[in-house]
Amino acid sequence: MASISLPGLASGLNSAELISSLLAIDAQSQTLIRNKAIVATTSVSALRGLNSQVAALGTLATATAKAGGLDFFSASSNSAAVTATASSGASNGTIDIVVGKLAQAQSGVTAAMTAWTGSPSITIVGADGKTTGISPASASLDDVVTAINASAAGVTATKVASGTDAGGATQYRLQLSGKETGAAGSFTVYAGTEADVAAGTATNVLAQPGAATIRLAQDSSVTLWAGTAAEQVITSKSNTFADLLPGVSVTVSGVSTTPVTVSVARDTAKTSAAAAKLVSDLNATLAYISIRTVSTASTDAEGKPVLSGGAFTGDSTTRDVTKKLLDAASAPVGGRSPSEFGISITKTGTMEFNAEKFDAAFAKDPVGTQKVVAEIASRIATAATNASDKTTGTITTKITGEQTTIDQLTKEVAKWDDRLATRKTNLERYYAAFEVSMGNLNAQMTWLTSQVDALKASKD
Amino acid sequence: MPDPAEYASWTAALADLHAYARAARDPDSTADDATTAIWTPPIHLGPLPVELRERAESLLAEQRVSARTLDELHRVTGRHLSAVRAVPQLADRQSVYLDVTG
Repeated sequence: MASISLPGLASGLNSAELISSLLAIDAQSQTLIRNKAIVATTSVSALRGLNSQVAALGTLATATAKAGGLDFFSASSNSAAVTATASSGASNGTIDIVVGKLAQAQSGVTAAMTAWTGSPSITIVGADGKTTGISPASASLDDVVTAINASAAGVTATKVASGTDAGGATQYRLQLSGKETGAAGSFTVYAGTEADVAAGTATNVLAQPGAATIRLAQDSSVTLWAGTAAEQVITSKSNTFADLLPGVSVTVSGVSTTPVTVSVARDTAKTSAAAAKLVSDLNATLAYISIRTVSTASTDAEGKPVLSGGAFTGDSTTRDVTKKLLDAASAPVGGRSPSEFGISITKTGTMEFNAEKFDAAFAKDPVGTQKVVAEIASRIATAATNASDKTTGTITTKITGEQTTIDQLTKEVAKWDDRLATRKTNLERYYAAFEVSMGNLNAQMTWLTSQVDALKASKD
Repeated sequence: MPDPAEYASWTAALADLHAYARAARDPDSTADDATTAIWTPPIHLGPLPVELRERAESLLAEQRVSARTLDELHRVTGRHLSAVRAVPQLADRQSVYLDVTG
C-alpha cells in the first residue's frame, strides 16, 4: 500500500513519511512558536524593569529640579533647652530669643471622698465657654472617672487613693487634667446640670474646701529682641513655635533668662548628597541597560563557542534612552560644562560625581551651582519622562508592541493545539468506522460462503 | 426454474452486498451511517438459486479484495493516530505575562 487518501488529512504520502512529517510539522512549529513567545517574554520583562527604573529616576530628577529642591538648611541653638529644625523655605540667619514660659495643661484635684457627693450630674465648661454635660451611671467614683474620660470635654480623670476617713473607709481624690496644653485648654468642673451652671447654682468642684489647683493652663511664650523698644512676645499653645522664622520651627523645653541664639545655615553636605544621588541613580539606570545589552560568550554542550545576546542587544529603543539620558546629564548649561561642578561623563559612557569639585563650586557660588544642577536635573526629568510616560513613552510603546507579539504567538500555539485536536478526532472516527466495516464484511463473507456451500451440498 | 420473487430478492441482496463491498474500500464513504451500521444476514430468502452461483462466487472474490484494503486502511489510520497522539498538548498553559501593563 504505497499511497493512501483520507479526507481532511494529508494525502498521497507514504505512511512512514507521513508520520514523520506529521510529527515534525506539528510538534516543530508549535515548539518554535513557543520558543519565540518565551524570548519575547524575557525581553518584555526586562523592558518593564527598565521602565519602572527610568520612571523613578524621573521622579527624583523632577524633585531635584524644583525651585528650592537643592536648598537644604540646618538650624541650631546654643542652649539645650531650645531645639530648632529647618525645612524647605528656610534661609540663612540668626535670631535671639528669651524663653519666658513653657506651655502646660491645667490640672487639679478634688477633695477626698468615698463616693461622688452632691448632684449626680457633672458639667465641664471649657475656656471658650462650651459646656459638656456628663451623667455617670452611679455615684461610685469609678463610674464618674469612666464617664468623664468618655466625654468630649477634653479632660482626663484619675482616681488617686488618699488615706481613710474617720470611719476607716478608704478615701479617694479625683485628679482632673486637661488633655491640651495652652491657655485655651483650661476648664472648670461643676457638680450640677448644664441648666444649673447657667443659673449659677452649680458647685465648682475644684474650688471646694479640700480641693486644689495643681497647675494652671498656660501658653508657652518667647520674647524676641528682649529689652529693646521692639520687644515682641510670641505665644504658642504647645512648646513648639512653627515658622518662627520662615521654614524654621523652634521647640522649647526650659525657660531662660539670657537670650538663646537660634542660627540657620546652609547644609552643604545635604545639597552635595542630593546631587550625588541624582548622578548615582542615573548611573544605575544606564548600568541596567548596558548589562542587558552586552553579548556573552559561552560554550554549548558540544564545546562549540556560543555568543548569546542580552535582552536589549540590538534594541534601538534602549540605545536611544541611554543616549538621551547621557546628553541630558552632560550637555553644557548656559555655556558652562557640568564638569566644572563635579558632574562629568566618563569614557565608559557613565556619569561621575566629584564631591570635592562640587563643594568648591558650591562654596564659591551657591546660587549659580544650584541653578546648573537644577537645569541638569530638569533635563534628566524630561528625558526620563519621554522614555517612560505611561502612554506615550518610548519604552512603554515598545513594551506594548512586544506584548501584542506575545499575544499573537500564544494564539498561534493555541491554534495548533486546536488543529491537532481536530485531526485526532477525525482519525479516531475513521479508525472506529473501519473496524465496524471490517466486522460487517467478515460477517457477509461467512454468510455468503455458507450459502454457496449449501448449494454445492444440495447438488452433490 | 426458481420462483421469480425469490430470484428477485436474491439478486437484490447480492447487489446490496456488492455495493457494500465497493463502499467499504472507499475511505470517503466509510464513515457514513450506512456502512457503520451493524450488518445482519437477510432472512426469508430461501436457498441460493443455482443461476446466481457464479455471481456469488465473484462477489466473494470482490469482498476478499475489500477486506484486504480495509485492513490496510485500518492499520495506517492507527499509525496516524499514534503519531498525532505523540505530539505533546499544551496542557501546561503557563502564563506568558509577568504582570499587568505598567
